[in-house]
Amino acid sequence: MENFKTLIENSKIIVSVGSGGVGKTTVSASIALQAAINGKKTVVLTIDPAKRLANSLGIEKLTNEIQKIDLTLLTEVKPKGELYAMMLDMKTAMDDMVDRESSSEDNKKTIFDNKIYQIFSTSLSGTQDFAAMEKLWDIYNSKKYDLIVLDTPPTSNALDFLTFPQRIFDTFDNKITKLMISMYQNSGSFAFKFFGLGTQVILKGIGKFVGTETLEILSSFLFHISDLIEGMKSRSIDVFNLLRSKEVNFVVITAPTPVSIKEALFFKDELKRFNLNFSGFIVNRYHNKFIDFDEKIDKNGVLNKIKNKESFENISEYKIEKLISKLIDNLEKFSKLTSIEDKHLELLKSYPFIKIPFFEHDIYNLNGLIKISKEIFK
Amino acid sequence: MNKNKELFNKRVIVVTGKGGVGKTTVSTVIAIAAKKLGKKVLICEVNTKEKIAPALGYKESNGIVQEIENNLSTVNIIPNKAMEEYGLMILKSKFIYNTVFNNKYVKKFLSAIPGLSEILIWGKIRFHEQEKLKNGQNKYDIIIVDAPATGHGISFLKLPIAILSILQKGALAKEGKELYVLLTDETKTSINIVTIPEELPVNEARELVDVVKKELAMPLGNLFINSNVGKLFSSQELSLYKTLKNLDGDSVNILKKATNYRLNREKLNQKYIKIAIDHIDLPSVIFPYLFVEKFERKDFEYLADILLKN
Repeated sequence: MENFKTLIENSKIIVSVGSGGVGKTTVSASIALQAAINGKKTVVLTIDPAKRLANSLGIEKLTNEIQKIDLTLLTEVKPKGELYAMMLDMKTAMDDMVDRESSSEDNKKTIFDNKIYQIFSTSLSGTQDFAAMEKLWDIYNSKKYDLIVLDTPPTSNALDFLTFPQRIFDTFDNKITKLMISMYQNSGSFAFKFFGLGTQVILKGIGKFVGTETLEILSSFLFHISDLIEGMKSRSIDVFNLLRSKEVNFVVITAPTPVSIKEALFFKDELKRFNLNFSGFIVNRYHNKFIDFDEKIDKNGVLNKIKNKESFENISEYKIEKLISKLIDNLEKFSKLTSIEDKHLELLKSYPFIKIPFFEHDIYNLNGLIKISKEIFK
Repeated sequence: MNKNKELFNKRVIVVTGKGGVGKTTVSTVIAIAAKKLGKKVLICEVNTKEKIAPALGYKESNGIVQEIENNLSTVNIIPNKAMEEYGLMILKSKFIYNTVFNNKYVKKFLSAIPGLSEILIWGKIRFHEQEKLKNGQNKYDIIIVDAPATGHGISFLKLPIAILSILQKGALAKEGKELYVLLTDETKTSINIVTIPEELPVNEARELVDVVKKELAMPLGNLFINSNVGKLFSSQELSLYKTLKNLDGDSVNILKKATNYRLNREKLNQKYIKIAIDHIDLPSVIFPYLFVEKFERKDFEYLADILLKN
């Protein structure tokens, strides 16, 4: 597929997108490996703490630091470039951002101590997206690498990493948020008396719901975080502009199942809606066909062949027939699976897509990973 | 039957695991098995594109509990809806409720509070757990929660607890405390883990079990190992097949290729079933891979029978 052949050549950043469980991380690593083989100094950023990915890259553990991958372990090819990998740690990325954007040490400390921040920076899925974007920007601007492959956090209903910053800014544009911030500014604590009657009713209502204390912690959080908002805004605008440039390409990874394909098409539409460059679909775990669909196995032919073999003379015909029936049944089951997958993949036919087979062996080292690279870029 | 007696004796059966391992399938299978045992069952999907009712041939329940069959109900819990119902319950006045919760800024503001929607979903589940019939009996014997696949499937379980560290007073804090009591009560609740016999999913299941045990201190139930490509041959047939090695010809080669592929997949699955069972100290249930395009009623029934025979 033309798009995939030129993908590495034409990109400074490749972003892989997809729902969970489709093999996104492995595919991202394979793309990065191919790029390194082609001669690019490449880094793959992942959020997946899976030990196997680290192991298949030949290292003990992926960490928050960029690590160089030893490509001399590749037996078949001699790479012309270099490969690096790192795992994004969202807590560190969030802390870094607070550290960078805070206008004072005091403010920074108050945020770090705030319970809401502590949960926000460790427990929320959206923060992973934020961390990914932050790190991408840093590494891109370090200008140390020819290509960055970014494995985005798994998501099933939207491209959260694109919408998350906006959602945060919306929150800060919200009247209630502003009210709470201004209240904190005026009094340093939470007191209803500063508000008009209507507002009091509203805030008391929310207070009953989440507890007045919570509103206090929340208003402190919002007040101190609002100090960062301008910096975050301008950073996220920069990241967005970067993502839209023609050197950044997005691939959508999917499994050949109806649910996954539907989600993949949705991701594609989202990418287009945000004016991002969609390069194509990578269908992972596809069942290759063993036989053409209109072709039939000549059962009697196979049976006759076996019967004429000396080694089978002592075995009952019934047993042999039963065995052959099982073989044919198994072949038919997998053929049916392929035809079902093909039928669903019809939905992708107007777009560039490539298929990676469902390997029946583990991918446990660089030489295994390269099998996937070969399928993508053949 | 021993391990399942435990499973079906719980009130709240949470089904969790990494994305794509078949949590929804397992939830449905448990529901059908429980129904077969004469239990009154409610399956809760959580803020998602509803799959269970449609898979069984019924229309989506969209936030409202529907009894799709005798003793079998489904619901898709939607946080916004839960918030409205809940707010009304707390504020006890339609007028105040409307002033507060129907204010669009309030709505947006509340939706930005981290973890609020999770705790509302759990609140709703707890509400169903406590629902009674007129005769005082529980409305549902068993409530199955098809938990969302959030990253490692854990934040849905973890967040209500994390939120409790912030909330001290107010209605939600009270709710959170009672919820925590329910989720850690081993006589009422079990957290069931779903995986498939492949490396990454099994590793993640191991991590998940650790977190549930050590960090959350919630009672674990079964380990469901889904999609096992079962054995094609008996050992006799396997040795007979091996004597085919020297046989040649197009048809034979195609058959051999497909068979070897299958045998390798079996082997891979066996390897990870063993790893899962050796490292995860939970009663395990293995479901076979079914070569079907879409699960139909009979497929769920088939797996439910396997579960009941276990």
